[in-house]
Amino acid sequence: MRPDKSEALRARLRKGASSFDFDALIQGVSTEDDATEAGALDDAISTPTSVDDEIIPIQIQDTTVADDGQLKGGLVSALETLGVRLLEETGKLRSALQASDASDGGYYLARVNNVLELLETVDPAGETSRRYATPAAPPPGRVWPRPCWSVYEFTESPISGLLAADADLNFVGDLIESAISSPDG
Amino acid sequence: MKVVAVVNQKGGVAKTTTVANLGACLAERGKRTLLIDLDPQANLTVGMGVAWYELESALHTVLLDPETTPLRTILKPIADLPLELAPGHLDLAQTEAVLLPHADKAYRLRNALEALYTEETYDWVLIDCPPSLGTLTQNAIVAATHLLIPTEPKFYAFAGMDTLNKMIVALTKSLRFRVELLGVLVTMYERGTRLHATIAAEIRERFEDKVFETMIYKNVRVSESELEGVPIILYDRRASGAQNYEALAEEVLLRAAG
Repeated sequence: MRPDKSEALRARLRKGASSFDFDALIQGVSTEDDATEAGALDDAISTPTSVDDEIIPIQIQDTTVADDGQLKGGLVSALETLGVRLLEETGKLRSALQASDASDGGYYLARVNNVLELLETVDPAGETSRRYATPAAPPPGRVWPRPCWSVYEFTESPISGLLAADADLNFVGDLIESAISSPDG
Repeated sequence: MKVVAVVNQKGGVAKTTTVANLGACLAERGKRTLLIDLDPQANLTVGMGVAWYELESALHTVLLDPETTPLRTILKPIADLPLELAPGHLDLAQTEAVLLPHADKAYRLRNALEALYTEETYDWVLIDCPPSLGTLTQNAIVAATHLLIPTEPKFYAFAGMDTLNKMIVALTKSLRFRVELLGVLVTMYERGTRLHATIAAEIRERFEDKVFETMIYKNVRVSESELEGVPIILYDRRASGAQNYEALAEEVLLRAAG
């Protein structure tokens, strides 16, 4: 990488990361002396964090990719491929969950998670996907659902909306265990 | 006793490798060290040569029923060092589901560690967190005195640490805990890659002296040592991976003393 490219990269990094906040991490936190009531402890986990507030359900319906003559680079092609794969794997996950099959469900959840991790990496805010209307692109103001590798993340995720009506926490536990132990987990 | 949660919700950033090898380096310096495998994938447990599937009790039983299974009953000695392991288990994934309705679900690990403070059993406790921000990771953060954040020199490192920051802020609203950052550790660093150099420099710019001077370079000998079930310093002390973790241990001890 030439020096000017290195500077350009740093500029892009700074722009992309300028809205990020690390203050609590850098300064440390302490609530030891706060008068937090024990009864309120449960709220800490049942209340979605601001991160979870931003996530939205995956669009299951088919989406037509815009074909307006715009030049599509490798990134857009990758997003189209990932979007299609997300729809396919989510459809299979939904079928498995509706059939109350935790084993197959975990297998497909791991695959959905892997696609979401890739999408987060290449298009963190979903902006490029929206601009080119790639399949499953998040709507304006929203980002990709977070991957779910724990019961907590799954229960707080819109992906849990795919569960059968009679699914309980034990089923979710089996599902997560299956996801973690699957070849993609 | 310093309790360090090695945390990053991104997988594959060398959390487990860091816990195993930093722990071994601290122990070799005479520091009594406990490693806690809080990840249902139990890679730390396997990497330390312990077969989790043969265990009748492991960390999940401690978290679910600490009175019947106190932490000290599950500990395994590692090598010929003052180093012990609280093994993980695949059933930790189920534990999350069982704990979910309980008001004290985020305090289970902290309560389990309480006796260690009283008995002054260890100098260092290192917790290997799962690659998620679920109940198990919350247990680690609430139990910890310090956080160590390994991260690859990639752009999403910033997004990941921003998410972790948000989670910590959210937890302060309802949980009692005190934690500070021991440091951000750049891992998987590839020598001669200017992209990595650029991003690592940017991480230092944002986190300043909270970033460890030591970086962990990619080193195949570390992966080999994990397959052998021993820390890198016992597998090949001359490997760059061993030297990286030796340097990290020195830096960690300096920071703790300072």
